[in-house]
Amino acid sequence: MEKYHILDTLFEAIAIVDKKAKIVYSNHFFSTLFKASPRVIRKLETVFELFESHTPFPKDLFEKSLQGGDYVSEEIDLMSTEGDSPCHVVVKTTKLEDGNVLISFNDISIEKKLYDKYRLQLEELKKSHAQIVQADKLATIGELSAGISHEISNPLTIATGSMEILEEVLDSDMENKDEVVRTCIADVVESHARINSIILNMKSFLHSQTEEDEREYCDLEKVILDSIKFVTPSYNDHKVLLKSTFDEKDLVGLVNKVKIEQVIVNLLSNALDALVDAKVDSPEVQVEVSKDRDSNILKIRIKDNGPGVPDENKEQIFNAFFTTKDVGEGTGLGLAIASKIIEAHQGSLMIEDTDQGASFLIQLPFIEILSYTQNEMLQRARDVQDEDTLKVMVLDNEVQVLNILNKICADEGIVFMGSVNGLDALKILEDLSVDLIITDYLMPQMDGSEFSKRARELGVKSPILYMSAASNQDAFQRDKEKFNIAGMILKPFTKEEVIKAIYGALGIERNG
Amino acid sequence: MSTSLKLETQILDNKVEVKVSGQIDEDATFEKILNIKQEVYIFDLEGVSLINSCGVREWINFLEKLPEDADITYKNVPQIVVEQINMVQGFVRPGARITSFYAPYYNEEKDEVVKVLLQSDEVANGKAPSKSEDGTDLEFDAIEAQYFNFLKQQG
Repeated sequence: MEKYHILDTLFEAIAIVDKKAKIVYSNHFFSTLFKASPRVIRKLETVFELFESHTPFPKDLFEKSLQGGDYVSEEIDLMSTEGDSPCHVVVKTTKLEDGNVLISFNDISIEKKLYDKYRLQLEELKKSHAQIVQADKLATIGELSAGISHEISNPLTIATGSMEILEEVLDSDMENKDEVVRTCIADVVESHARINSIILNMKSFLHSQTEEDEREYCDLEKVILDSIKFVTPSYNDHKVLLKSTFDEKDLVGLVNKVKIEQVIVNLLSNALDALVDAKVDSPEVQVEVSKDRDSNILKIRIKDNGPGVPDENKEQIFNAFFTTKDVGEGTGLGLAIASKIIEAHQGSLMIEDTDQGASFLIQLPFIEILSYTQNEMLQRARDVQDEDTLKVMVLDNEVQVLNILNKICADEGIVFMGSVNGLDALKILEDLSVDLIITDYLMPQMDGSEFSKRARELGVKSPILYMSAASNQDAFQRDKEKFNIAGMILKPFTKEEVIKAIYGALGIERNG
Repeated sequence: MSTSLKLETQILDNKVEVKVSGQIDEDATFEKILNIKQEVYIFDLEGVSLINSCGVREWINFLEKLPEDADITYKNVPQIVVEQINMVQGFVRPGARITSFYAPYYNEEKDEVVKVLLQSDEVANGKAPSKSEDGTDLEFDAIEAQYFNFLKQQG
C-alpha cells in the first residue's frame, strides 16, 4: 500500500485495516512496538489476533468507526503475542475515505511506569517524613518531661497538703472550719485543673498526625502564648526570663496551629538549652512579633542573650541530624523539621547575625497572600484552569468567620483570600485582582464604608458585598449607590445564603 | 544507579572496554565510566535486556560528558537497542562506529526467529546479508529500510 508509506515516518504505531479487520498496511513503529515482524503481520487474519486474549483489542472502537467517525479508547494494556511485556496504550480509530479504518496506538508505557514508580516513592517519602516528625516529637517530649513532671508535682503537692489539712480540720473544733474546708477544696480542684491542662497540652502536641495539613485562621498571639506556656516550667526551673512583645493586634495567621506551636516550642527549648549550657548571667529570651507591610510579611523573632551560633555551624544548623548537643540529648532533627514546617507555610526560618546571642527569624506571608496561593494550588491540583476559577476576598476581623467562609468557598471550588485588616487587604488589592469582595461592616480599624471608599479610589471595580447584622442595613442603603455595593449578607448566615449572594453579585447562574 | 544495570570495565593501555548488561532506564547512571579517562571506548551491549526512551536520554547525556575526541565503538548491539537507535538521534554520536549488531532472521523449517550477529560491513546498500542455519536458508525478519537505518548515522 504505497499511498500509506508516509506513515512510516511517524513515531506512533499505526495499522490500517479493511472492513474485516485484516491489516492492509502497518508502519515501522507498529512492528517495533508489538515486536511483530512483517512476516507475522502478513499471516494475521485480523488485527485482533495479534493480541493475547487476556488483554483484548477494543473491537467496539473498530466496529463503530466502520460506521464513520473517530473513537478513542481509555488507557489499556495490550499484550502482543510476539512480545514479552504489555504495552500501555491509548487506541484511536478513524474511518478513511477509502473505507479502511486507521488504528493508531499512542504508547504511554513509560509515562505509566514513571507515574506508578514515583507515586510509590513519594508515598514512601511521606511515610518516612511522618515517622521522623513523630520521632522528633517524642524526643522533644522527652526533653521537656523533666520540666513537666516538676510542674505536675507542684499542684500535686498542693492537693496532697490540702487533703491533709482537710483531715485535720474535720476532727477539730475551729471557728472558721467552713471557710478552711472551702479553701482546701478550691485548691484541690484548681490543682487538678492545672494537671489536666498540662496533660491535654501534651496530648495535643503528640497526637497531631491526623491534622498534619489542616490549616485555619488562628490568632497568632494566642498560638505563641500557648507555646510559651508549654515551656514556662522549664524556664522557671532554670530561672531564665522569657518575654514576649506583640507590635499590634489582629495578628492572624493561616496556619496549622499545632505545627507552629511545635516550631516555637522547639526554638524556645533550644534557646533555653544554650543559655543553661553557657551559664549566662541574667539569661533572657525574647519573642517579638511584628508585621512588615512593605514586604507583606509577618515576622516572629526569637532571640536570646546566650553565646550565639558559631559562624561555621550557621550553614548546617537546619540540616537533619546536625546537633551541637551531647550524644543522647538532641536528635538533630528539631530545626530541620521546624524549617520544613515553615516552608510548607510558604515562609522561611533563618538565623540572623547579631552582636550577642542567637536570633531566629520566622517569616510568614500575610494571610491574604498565603490563603490566595494555597487556594490557587488547590485548584491547580484539581486541574481547574485559572480563568475558570472565581477569586473572592473576605475581610473580617473574626477568625472563626474567615474559617467558615473559607470552608464554604473551598467546597464551591472558589479561590478564597482572607484578611482581618482593611489596610492589609487594600495593599494586596493594589497588586492582585479578585472577582468579588465580601467585607464585614463593623471592624475595629476601618469599617466597611471606609474600606469600600478606599477600594473604589484605588480603582477596584469588583463587586463588594457587606456582611453584618441586620442593624447595619442603613449603612448598606447609604453606600449602595455611593460605593457601588452589590448586596448584603446578614449575620448569622447559612452556607446557602452566602453562595447565593456570591453568585448573585457576580450575575452567575449557579449549576445544580 | 539502576539496580539492574551492570557495567563491567576492562582497562588496557589507552583503551577501556565496557560490558553493559541489564536495563538502561530512567535510573541508569554511568558515573563509573565517566571517571575513567581513556582515548578509546568500546561498549559491548550484548547483555542489555531493556532500554527505554528515558534510558536513551541518560545515555545521550552520558555521551556528552565523554571527551570530544574520544574514539567510541559499539559492538554486539542487540535488536532492542538497534530499534531505539533508529528512533532517536544522538545515541550514536558523530564519529562513533557500530562494528557488530544482532538482526532477526526467520528459520521456516524450525518456525523460529534467531538473532544473528552481523558485522556492519556485511550490510551493503541497506540489504540484509544472506544467512543460513544447519543448511537452511534464513529469511531476514524485519523491514530492511528501517532496521539498517542506523548505519547511516555512524561516521
